[in-house]
Amino acid sequence: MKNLILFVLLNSIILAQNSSDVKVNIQATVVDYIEMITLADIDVGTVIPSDEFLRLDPLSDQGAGIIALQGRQNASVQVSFSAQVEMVNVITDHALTVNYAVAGNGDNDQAAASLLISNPATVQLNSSGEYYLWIGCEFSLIGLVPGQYDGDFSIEVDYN
Amino acid sequence: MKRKSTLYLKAAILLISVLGYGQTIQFSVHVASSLDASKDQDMDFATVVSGSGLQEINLGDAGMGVFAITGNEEMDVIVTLTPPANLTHTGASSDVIPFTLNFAYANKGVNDVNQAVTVIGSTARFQLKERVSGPAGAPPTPPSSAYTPNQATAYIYIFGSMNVGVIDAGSYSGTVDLSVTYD
Repeated sequence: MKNLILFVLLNSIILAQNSSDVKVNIQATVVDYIEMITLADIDVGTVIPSDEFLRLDPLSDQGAGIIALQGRQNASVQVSFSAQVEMVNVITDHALTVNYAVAGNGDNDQAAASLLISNPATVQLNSSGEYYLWIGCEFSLIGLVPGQYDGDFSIEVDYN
Repeated sequence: MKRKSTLYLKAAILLISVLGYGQTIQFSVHVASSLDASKDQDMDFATVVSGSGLQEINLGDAGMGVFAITGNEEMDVIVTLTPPANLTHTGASSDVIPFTLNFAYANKGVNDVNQAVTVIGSTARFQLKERVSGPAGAPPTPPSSAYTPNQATAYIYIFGSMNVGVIDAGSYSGTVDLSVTYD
């Protein structure tokens, strides 16, 4: 009896894929918009040497600096500022310690502003996304050397 | 029913054995070359400001996404991209950023956006490696034990725009799906 012989020649067995899928991620980080605009610098006017103290009231003095905040409507914002700054006479290097005070209001109305007691303080932008800050200061004139004093007052704002 | 079929099979084998002869069956399988897609770079709009409106990543910008497709250089491929309609907040916010996708491919064997061809729509068909002489006249030679075609890599560049309204701050993300197959 002859046997049946079956030869199966497998020429090639290749495990391969003829399609492929892959993903790419898209990423974006969104931050809230907020801007500070200086409407007026601090102007202490003329200092009279006979005075012992100079005080620029942020609630009432026309020389107070003014900064407007612009951001998201009705947003809660944290305001922090330099409460005390050491200034230096640009010629003699004599120091002058200046204490700052800040008042704020949702409307551009200095007389109705409130003093920011805490630092940092939380304030709320108005329905137009605005808030106004008045910056006053005070410093001693006793023994003060005449001349120009330089120093940096900084104020920072951020959304809560 | 099942038992009956078995009996027929035995009978057939017996018949063949009686006849008795040798036979060779040549069995050949054509399997296409592998096709691999990988992500080289995610798409990143970086940091944008809420309410800033239209933000774009253009072809060649650092933030564009990049895919690489490697396969038989003699084959054409069909690439389909499925973008998200919006980027969604990764936190609790339900705010979204509408997203529009564009893409281009470079099929000259190098990762070079200057050689990229911008695609209109979400699907493209192209030669995995551009044939300088134009379209191939005959079908490509199937790979076999005697012939292994060269591999080539084409690059897909993902770019586009998003429209940032007044939305919650935070991280937003989405996913573009790329599907590629031999034509």
